Amino acid sequence: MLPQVEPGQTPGTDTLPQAPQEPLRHLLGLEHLSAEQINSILDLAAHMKAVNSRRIKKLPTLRGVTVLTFFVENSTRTRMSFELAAKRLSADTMSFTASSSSLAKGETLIDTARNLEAMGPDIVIIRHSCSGAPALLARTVNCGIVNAGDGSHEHPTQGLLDIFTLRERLGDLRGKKVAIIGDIAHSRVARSNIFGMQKLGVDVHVAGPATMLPHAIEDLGCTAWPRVEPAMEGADAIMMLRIQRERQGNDLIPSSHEYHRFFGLDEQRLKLAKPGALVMHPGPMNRGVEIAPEVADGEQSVILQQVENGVAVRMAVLYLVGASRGLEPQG
Amino acid sequence: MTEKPLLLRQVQIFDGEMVLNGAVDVHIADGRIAAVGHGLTVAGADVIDGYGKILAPGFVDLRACAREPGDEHEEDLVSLSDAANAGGFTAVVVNPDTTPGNDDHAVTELIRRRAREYGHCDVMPQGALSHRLKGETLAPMGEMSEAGAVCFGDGDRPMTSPRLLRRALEYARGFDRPIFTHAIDPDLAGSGTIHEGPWSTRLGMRGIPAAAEHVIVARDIAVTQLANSRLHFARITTAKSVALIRAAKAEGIRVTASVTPWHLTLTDAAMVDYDVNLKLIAPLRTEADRQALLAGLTDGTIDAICSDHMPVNIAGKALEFDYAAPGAIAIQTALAQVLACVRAGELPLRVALNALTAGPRRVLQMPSARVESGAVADLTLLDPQAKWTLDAQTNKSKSRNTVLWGQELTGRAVLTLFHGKVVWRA
Repeated sequence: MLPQVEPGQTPGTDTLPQAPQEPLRHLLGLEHLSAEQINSILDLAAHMKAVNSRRIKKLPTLRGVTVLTFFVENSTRTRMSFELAAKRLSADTMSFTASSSSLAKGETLIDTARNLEAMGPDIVIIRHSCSGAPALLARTVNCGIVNAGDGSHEHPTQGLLDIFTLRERLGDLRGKKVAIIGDIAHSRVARSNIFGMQKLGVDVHVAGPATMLPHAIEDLGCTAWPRVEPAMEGADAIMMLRIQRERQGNDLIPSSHEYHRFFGLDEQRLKLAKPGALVMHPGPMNRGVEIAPEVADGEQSVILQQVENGVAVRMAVLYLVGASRGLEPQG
Repeated sequence: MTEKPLLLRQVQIFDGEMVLNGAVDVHIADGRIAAVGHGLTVAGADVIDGYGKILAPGFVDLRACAREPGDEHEEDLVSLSDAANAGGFTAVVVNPDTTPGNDDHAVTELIRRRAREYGHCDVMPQGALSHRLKGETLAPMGEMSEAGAVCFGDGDRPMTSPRLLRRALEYARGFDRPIFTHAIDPDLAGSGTIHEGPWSTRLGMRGIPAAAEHVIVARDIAVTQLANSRLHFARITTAKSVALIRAAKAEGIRVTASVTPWHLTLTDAAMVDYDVNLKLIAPLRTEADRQALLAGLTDGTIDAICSDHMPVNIAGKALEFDYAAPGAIAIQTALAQVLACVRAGELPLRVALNALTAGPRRVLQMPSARVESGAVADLTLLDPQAKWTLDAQTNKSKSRNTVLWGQELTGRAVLTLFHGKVVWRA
């Protein structure tokens, strides 16, 4: 499939589309982005995706810019996706990883951030187990901050790559029904998607055992169900969230087995959705828990495209944050 | 007392219940109010113009952390006294959860002696209810009462054993002291950090449901009735708690309650910036809860406003919200915070001032303070219109953990007298 490119853009050149009117100083979440900002990121990501299909997958746009990945919670995949995105824009990358508990005991987050800032990064990509840590960083250091996932709050680039994948397959998203299934209460992916998708007119339904549905989730504009069937019915896409096995000690579900029986996506339940509905998962999957292997590997699955699109979306985000700070080379 | 006599000219008097019409002069000498009247003249007196200002009994704070002994880098009994005085307070109940905890008469005596030596504020220790504040066995309340403890409780520690609470309530009867509790069910609260509601969902924060408070309020009301004793809810935050306490009082059960300025002025919507200075042990609740607290204060269900002053060192706050230490300093700003409600028409002035003066004295069964000839001169002269800013120059606390830091505030104590001595003058 060819990437969607806005009219007037020629894929594969080094001329990038115009940056949006509102500059993207940081990317902390999708809640406060406008539909226009989201669309302009996605348009740019389409261009980046075209670059990624060329033999030499590299643009000079962030040459001389230093991008730091600051991961206070492990996520090798997300970090690699960001690093690849930065390298494809010719940025210099460095990485800092720590376990948040050891950080909390010794140096404060603010001290660590200031130390890292003293080394002169232009953009800091932060992953943290605590909600609000990127906002704290954005107030503390003078760098562009990109949230790579904070606690149960937001994971905006995951939301953007999910929306990008939807838009690529479904076109105009207005009126499309998307079901997000799983531990909504603890999911930053769910929140970013709820905020972002609704801005583009998606009818978002969330479902899972009610122990996993947070208080007043419908105040965010979505529809919530304590069983999955009504959410899946007639959906254009179904996104299954990873069930954290360690959370079972938290009394949310009786067992993985029971979860799979009542809340998992198998071939039978998939039939509730529209024919050809997209099957999505932010990864890593627990096969046989939230998703049956035959569905994960089935024709309707776009799980690997999500991963591929992740690099393009992150290139677009890094470019825009860099551009808003006057970091792109002149001329 | 060899202090120079004082003459406060043209002040309006708040007598504990209402602001009296008409301005009068008040003469203070030898630690007491010597005279109240019109056109007083006193030879050699320090004359203070009180026009437009209100003279009230010194404020009493039912809940503050002195951090002494143990954490004197955050606060001590001297800095707390200074901050209290600047906030208009002349008496403060201090929490027992120090290091070591105040579960023994030796610690109670230390606190009393240190505060007395400085002599700016009546620091009244809350003795621990249980040995080592562990919630297992009773602490020696009799000896602590002798040493000066005015009430008992385990500070911020939840009372997990209703049986122990019953025994404490019963035992305290013999010493005529109320039990103070922080109403929270730790099991239901779990690892929550803010109010469970639309904002916790939006921000991805673990919530503390309102029910985690009022299940304990309901339980403790029943236990208080069983023990036929006196219990004070040290800070309540939910509409349901107000309703439960109102019903209990109507039934004649001897419960009292206080509320903090934070819960009267802010809601969980303020959490939007993840400001660690709004991370409080009793979380900010909803607008409906805030309105119920204001109504409860107005109709007398809630007896007092306590500052809930909790100094935290910068290292305890320069952290992620989840890891930051809870609490905010407030003893110096409480009056301005409460007056903001008065200016907004949410609280009558007489109710606000009652909750800072007569209300807390009633909770502790202290003699009611009067502004009349012969009374001990523990007094606060307040200017409801004065503009000021809490900053490095004005702050008296050793800590600065408050969202109000650097903001212009309206209303302050301009003069505080403790036993006739000027302990604060703006």
